[in-house]
Amino acid sequence: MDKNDKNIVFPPMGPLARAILESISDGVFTVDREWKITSFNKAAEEITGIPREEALGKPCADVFRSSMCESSCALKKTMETGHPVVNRPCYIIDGEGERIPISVSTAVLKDEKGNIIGGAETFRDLTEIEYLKQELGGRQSIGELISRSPAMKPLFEMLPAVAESGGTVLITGESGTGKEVLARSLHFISQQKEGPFVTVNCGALPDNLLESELFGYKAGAFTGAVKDKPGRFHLARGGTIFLDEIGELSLPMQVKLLRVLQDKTFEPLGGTHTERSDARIMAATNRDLQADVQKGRFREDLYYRINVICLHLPPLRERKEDIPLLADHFIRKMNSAREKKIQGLTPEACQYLIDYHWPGNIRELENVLERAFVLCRDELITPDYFPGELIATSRGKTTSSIQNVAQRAEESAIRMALKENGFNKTRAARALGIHKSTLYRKMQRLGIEVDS
Amino acid sequence: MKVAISHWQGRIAPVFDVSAEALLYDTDLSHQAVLHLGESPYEKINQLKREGVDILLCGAISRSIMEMFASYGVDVLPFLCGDVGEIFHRWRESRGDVAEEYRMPGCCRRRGRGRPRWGQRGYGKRNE
Repeated sequence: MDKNDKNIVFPPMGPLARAILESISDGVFTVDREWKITSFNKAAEEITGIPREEALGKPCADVFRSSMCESSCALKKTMETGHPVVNRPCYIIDGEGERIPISVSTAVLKDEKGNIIGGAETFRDLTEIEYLKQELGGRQSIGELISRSPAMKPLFEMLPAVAESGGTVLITGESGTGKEVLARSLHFISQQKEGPFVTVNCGALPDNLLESELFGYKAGAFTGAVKDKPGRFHLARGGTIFLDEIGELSLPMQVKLLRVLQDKTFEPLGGTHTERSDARIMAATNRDLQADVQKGRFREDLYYRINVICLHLPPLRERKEDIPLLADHFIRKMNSAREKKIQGLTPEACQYLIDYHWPGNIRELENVLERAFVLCRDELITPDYFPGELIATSRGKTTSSIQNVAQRAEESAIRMALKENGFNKTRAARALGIHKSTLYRKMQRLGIEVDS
Repeated sequence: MKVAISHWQGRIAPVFDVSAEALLYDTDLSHQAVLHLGESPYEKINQLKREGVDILLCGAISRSIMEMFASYGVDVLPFLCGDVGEIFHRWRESRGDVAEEYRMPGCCRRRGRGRPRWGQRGYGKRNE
């Protein structure tokens, strides 16, 4: 028995019935003939977020707040007709303004003589089911790739066929648009999904290192090569090799890669035998390869070999409707990785993210959210945790409301005080009549560089 | 100043999202009217906006609808319960706030100063 038991005003019932009522996962409450709550079990507290002691004795509509209360109260119908209502769907609104989908069942309560003394309502939280339905219906998702933007629709429609084809894929798009995520997602719905997904960044290594990384080497091939090392093409057998930043390859390396694409064979450095590769090739670039071909920077034959199926990822500024979805996805991911419980963004924080032009695309969004996530000590991320540059740029796009005028005046006063005090922030804060930490916070919010 | 109170059986309607009726008052008590509300939240907001309502006193309301009101410049005092007339007079006397006893169970209480929290007047407005 817990210490709150004295507050429970269940209708007459034995301890066993009371214990059962308290242990079930469905919310249960009972009302008297005046529609006042007479009992409210533990699950009801959890689903509605209302403590039992606040619920007892109050009109049920003020506590339950369901979409049915006003026009089609299920309990009223049951009390009038004597017939129970079973699993009727509706929603309730919790103290945070969230709609919680539920299903409701009702029954009449009678005393020993058969007189109606009130009613009982049980309700089940359908949030999880509704979420899954929405996931399946509303948004498009393949592997790690998620979107609800019309700009991504053609891509999503193509992906199953592209995955099935097994052909070479070229993924284009600005830096940070998620080219590797797309390649990985394609791999995991393809016939090679049981095989490995091996990534190579072609722009990160000089030619000789890249060659040994791609094709491997045999012991004695060069000084320090004391034993055989398999290359990425070898490691990717039966799976997919993803060649990122393929546009950065030198012309000699392009020739070597062309051979793998044409003959599906390669030779490790210092090796005497040719190896076969059955790995599916996916390549990605943020460059205009066709222009590079015309300028002689990229081999035309290699271009046509890799450009069998071309998938283009639009920049984030062209799919802004995905920003709340992606932000939610990243916050969930960070919550589970760092064991925090951040609920999401405030509406104004979300608006700032939508207003920003995202030159660094999704990677930049993830970085901004990670920074905010680390700094945030509240349940919701506010714009205070965003970098000054983002705030300044987003603010520039909004209308000149009175707040913006005030902000500009504030910014100008801070800049002036800093300048007049030789950029000494302690003295500038004193001159402005604010605490130094307030000055730091305001400078960060307004995007004023510390060393300006 | 014009006030709308969502109304059901003499009390504040439990859920504004589905409420069918609002009482309109002028704060100087010069005018009182009943407004039959449309079904969708957009209709409701547009109707209240057309009537020149400055503030809505209501019961439970979805966060998204409350944010829409904020963007239309209509203030909302949500999660109230009790007799409509009583609440209007209390609100009028207290110059914009209502006592704890008229708050719905389990709903936000005022906690100190600072940025308005969900359920308090001014929530959702950009304030720097």
